Amino acid sequence: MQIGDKEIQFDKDGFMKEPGIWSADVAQAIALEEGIEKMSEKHWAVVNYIRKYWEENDLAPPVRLLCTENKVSVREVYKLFTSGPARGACRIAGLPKPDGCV
Amino acid sequence: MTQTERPGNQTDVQKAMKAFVSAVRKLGPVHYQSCVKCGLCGETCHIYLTDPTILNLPVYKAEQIMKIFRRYYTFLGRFLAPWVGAQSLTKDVLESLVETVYGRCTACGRCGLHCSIGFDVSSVIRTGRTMLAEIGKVPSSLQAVVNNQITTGNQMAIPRRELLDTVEWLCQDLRLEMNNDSVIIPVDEPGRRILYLINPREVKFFPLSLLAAAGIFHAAQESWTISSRFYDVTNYGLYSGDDTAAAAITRQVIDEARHLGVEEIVLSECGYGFRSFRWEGPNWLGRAYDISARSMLYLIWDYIDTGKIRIDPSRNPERITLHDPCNLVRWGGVSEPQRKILKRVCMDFQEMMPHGADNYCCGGGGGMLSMSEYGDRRILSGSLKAEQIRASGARIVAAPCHNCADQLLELNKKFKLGVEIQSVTEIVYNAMVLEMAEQSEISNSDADDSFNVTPSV
Amino acid sequence: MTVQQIIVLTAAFWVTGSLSFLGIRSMRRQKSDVSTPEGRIWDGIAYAFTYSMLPGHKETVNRHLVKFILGVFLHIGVFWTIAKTAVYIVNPAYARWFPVISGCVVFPGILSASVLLVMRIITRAMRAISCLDDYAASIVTIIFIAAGFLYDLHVVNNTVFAGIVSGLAVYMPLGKLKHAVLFFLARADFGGRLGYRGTYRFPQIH
Repeated sequence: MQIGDKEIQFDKDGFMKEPGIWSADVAQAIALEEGIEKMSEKHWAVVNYIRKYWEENDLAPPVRLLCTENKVSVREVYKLFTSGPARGACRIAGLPKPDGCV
Repeated sequence: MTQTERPGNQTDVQKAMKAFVSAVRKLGPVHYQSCVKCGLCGETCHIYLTDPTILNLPVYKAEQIMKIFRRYYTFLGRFLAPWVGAQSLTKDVLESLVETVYGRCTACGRCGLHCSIGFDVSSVIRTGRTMLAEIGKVPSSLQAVVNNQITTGNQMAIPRRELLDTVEWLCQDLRLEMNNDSVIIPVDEPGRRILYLINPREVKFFPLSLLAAAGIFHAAQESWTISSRFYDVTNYGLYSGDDTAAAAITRQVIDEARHLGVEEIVLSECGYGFRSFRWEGPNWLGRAYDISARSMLYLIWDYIDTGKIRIDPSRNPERITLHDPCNLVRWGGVSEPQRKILKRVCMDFQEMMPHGADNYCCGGGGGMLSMSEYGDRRILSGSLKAEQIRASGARIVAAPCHNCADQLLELNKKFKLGVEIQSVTEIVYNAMVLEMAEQSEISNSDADDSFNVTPSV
Repeated sequence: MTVQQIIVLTAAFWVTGSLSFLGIRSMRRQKSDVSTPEGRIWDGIAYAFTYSMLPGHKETVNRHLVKFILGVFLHIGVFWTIAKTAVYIVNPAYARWFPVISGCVVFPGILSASVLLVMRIITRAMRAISCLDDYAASIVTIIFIAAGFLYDLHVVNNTVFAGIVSGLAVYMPLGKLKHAVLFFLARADFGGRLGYRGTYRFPQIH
């Protein structure tokens, strides 16, 4: 995928191969694949939170923190990201694929 | 093999050979030499059907293992190897097996059920996994999960604190939803009747099924608990083929159940978790459990059947179809309770074709979901399931397996199915009528009685 | 008893003996299943040999009807010739009874076996999974059925028939023809396991 002057590569699961070169444009481009035409403020709040948490802990945040820190309910998260927090939100936030059954 | 062989100083090939011999002894040699290569199994395999290359033919995959068997176990294989196409075990052979056994087979077992001979094709293919696990050739993304399970007790390496916080948070939500402040989610309570095992995915990303289960337990006034140390129902040892790791993972869970002194272990809706804990576990450990184990689906059906929870099917008005997880239905023998439940809790239940033990794998099984390197193949092989879902015309797909649910979510997105994926527990929770009397809302009780539907009475 | 009869009888003993030995060995298992059963092993076995083999139920049959029918003809031919061999051991002349029926049964068998062999040779996927033994097994089978047929027609004599039959008998337990006994064992073993787990219940059609 070409974003600006950068070539973004994905693994076969659609997660970024180099999470370091993530940007807001990349996020919007992945979001489009997820069926999100235009990222809303809530989308951004969640995605930015995931990104920040990951940069600090090298881990995807659990859904509890996602909800409590951003004042959204679980059911809302699934409405915002139809493929769920892992394959939806974490992917948009440019994280590598979390381990296990996701 | 070589004369310089010393214990602890074995080559990879020798280790793999040892694993092979023990795997053959476990499954039974009969399955490795019954194939007549009629070549009819192709159309039973979801991977071959969506990508018909010879490499995906079930018999071709199994043949890679059977060749090795013939070389060491049959007369002609030993003395006239080319005649029967026998193949010695070498480093290269092992190397080439990786893609075949991990990347081209989800061990769903469908081919075995339709096989002309009727031997266990997919377990023969799994022998390859056992060998590769022995020499550390499991794809790293899969091995990482096994390691997580052994070192942290759960596949997503969730810290204990995180589990406790999540449970507390869920409990608050549940109190709001049930409008009842006495609801609790018991953790590490000794002497309860039931230990409920969950998939860590329910803690980390998809807590609604745990919430629903807790709600159902509360409504049924069940004596239950979850463990904060070993609550993981899954067992990636089944996928990686590492029986030693699989046994270790099983042992930590059963020991925890003994420690808590429960009467019964109830397994959350997880296909391979059910299969590995219920069926393979005792065999990995070498003896039967002293505590019985069964799927949550049986328990829910008991609650509905005995009237412990009351159901109003009109709360699920949309058409619901049911996905049959291979490890739960084909390998686990659980196909009745989920059907009985769904027929009771929704207005419009539609089977997929084919279904039951004949179902197609969703494509995410066999550890495929965690191996990104085969991601495109996983989606492609799932197109069959996607078509089935579309043909059913359902709005909601009930997936009694967390692993399948993830794959189905992906399929929903990629093939634009426009469905919702829910666990059976969630669907039941959605249709559950709360006992208002319990909250002493007497003024509402008349209205409630006329509104509630209790088919069990 | 003639020399030919004795040879065929010896061959029959060899086949039964070696296949029984092979069958018993192939069922040797480290341990039996220690998990608590959900269903019954015998239910699973009964299911595996009945419902699970019905054409309507088994995809390898209903998606490959032509191949399946050819296979059925082939096996009818084989069983007929085996029966003929058994009669031959008792009295070589009796084995020539029912020549017309014999022709009706055996001729489609030879034809089917030949078609299947050709299919194995010309299809790429079939070549990829076949080894010399697979072709040899087909050829040997064709010769076996044909020998019985030609014996009826007096084209081959007593000695040639006995030679062919005992030659086949020697090869039978070595290659894939051993599925004659392993078929039953593998199907029973797998079916039994699924019965134990409650996947196969009998009688019940899914």
